[in-house]
Amino acid sequence: MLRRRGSMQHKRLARSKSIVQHKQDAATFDVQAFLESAGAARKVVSYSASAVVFSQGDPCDTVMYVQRGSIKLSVLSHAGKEAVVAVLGPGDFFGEGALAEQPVRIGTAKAMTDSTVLVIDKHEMIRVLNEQHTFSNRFIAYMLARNIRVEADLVDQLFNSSEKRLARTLLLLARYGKEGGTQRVLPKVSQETLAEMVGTTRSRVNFFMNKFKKLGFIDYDGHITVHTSLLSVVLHD
Amino acid sequence: MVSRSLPTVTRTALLDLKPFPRVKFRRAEIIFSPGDACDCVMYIQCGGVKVSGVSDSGREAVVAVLGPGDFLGEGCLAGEPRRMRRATAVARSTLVVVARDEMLPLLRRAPVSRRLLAHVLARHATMEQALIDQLLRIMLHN
Repeated sequence: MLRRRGSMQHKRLARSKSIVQHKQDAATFDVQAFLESAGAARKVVSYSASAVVFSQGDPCDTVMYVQRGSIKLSVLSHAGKEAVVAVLGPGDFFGEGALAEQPVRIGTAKAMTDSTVLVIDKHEMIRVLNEQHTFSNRFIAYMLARNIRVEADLVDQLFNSSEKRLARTLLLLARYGKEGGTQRVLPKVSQETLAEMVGTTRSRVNFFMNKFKKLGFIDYDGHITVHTSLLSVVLHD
Repeated sequence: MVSRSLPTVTRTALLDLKPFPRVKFRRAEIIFSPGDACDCVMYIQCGGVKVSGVSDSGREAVVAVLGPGDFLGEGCLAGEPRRMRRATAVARSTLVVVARDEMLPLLRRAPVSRRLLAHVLARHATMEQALIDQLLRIMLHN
């Protein structure tokens, strides 16, 4: 408690410093500490599995950072069909549309597992992005990586069959090729959610999951284990 | 002063990019193709560029149309070793070419880094919307 009060005083002091000292702060600004803790205009919120973080149409005035857990971003069509746009994990940002002047949320964010999220007020986020180079470069690096992924998702949607798209989705969920190695056992994902991510029906997902299982590419009994041999589906025509 | 929005400052970004070479492209000229080395970032000074995915069978699908003030090929900053897409000039265009290693010090300067941030955010918003449209279209047919 005492320590927190100390750090708040430090922050108030920092705000009244001259430009030269500001530059010094930029060099020492601790991005990780900012993202791991609550503070002025940012708070840590816990969500239990399947709780809604924000809904399509809500005002868009905060940016979120996933500290722990997993968050599903989805949109609902007029016909009531749901499409999953992204599944995010620790270290990911979401709701960044607020920075691109989106007036309302274009999709719904839901916790898939118990999750902790840092909710940053839009104006505070803009202030830190403008003032702290280390932070804005970290955020740009994140957005660059995220854009590569969204672009790949888009190209995948435009070109590939639903079987290939399902295989790719499973490999990505298993974090195949990411640092820290492949996490082969997937977090619990229903066939329904997989269908919404791939853009197909649950029965098609069921059909391909059984096919992948028969070919030994995955193990599937309640939870899903992905083997690297599943790559062959993505790589071959 | 605390600004209330993210400034885009295209003109000051251009000032910082002044020392770098300009390359001109004719309409329909290919700027890069999938598999090319990914060692520079380009900034569109004037003209327009379309970015498209190319399938194994040679089909092409446009994922972005970029204009003045946009960056092109910024994936190399995220460590992409090769170009993944095809970039084609859709009009007579002038591009500022900055080698990857020379871009990193520029990002420590506010104008370029703010312009890049505004660009990646806008690019994310349009691609996300395209992805949503595509997903919902497919699901409508199922």
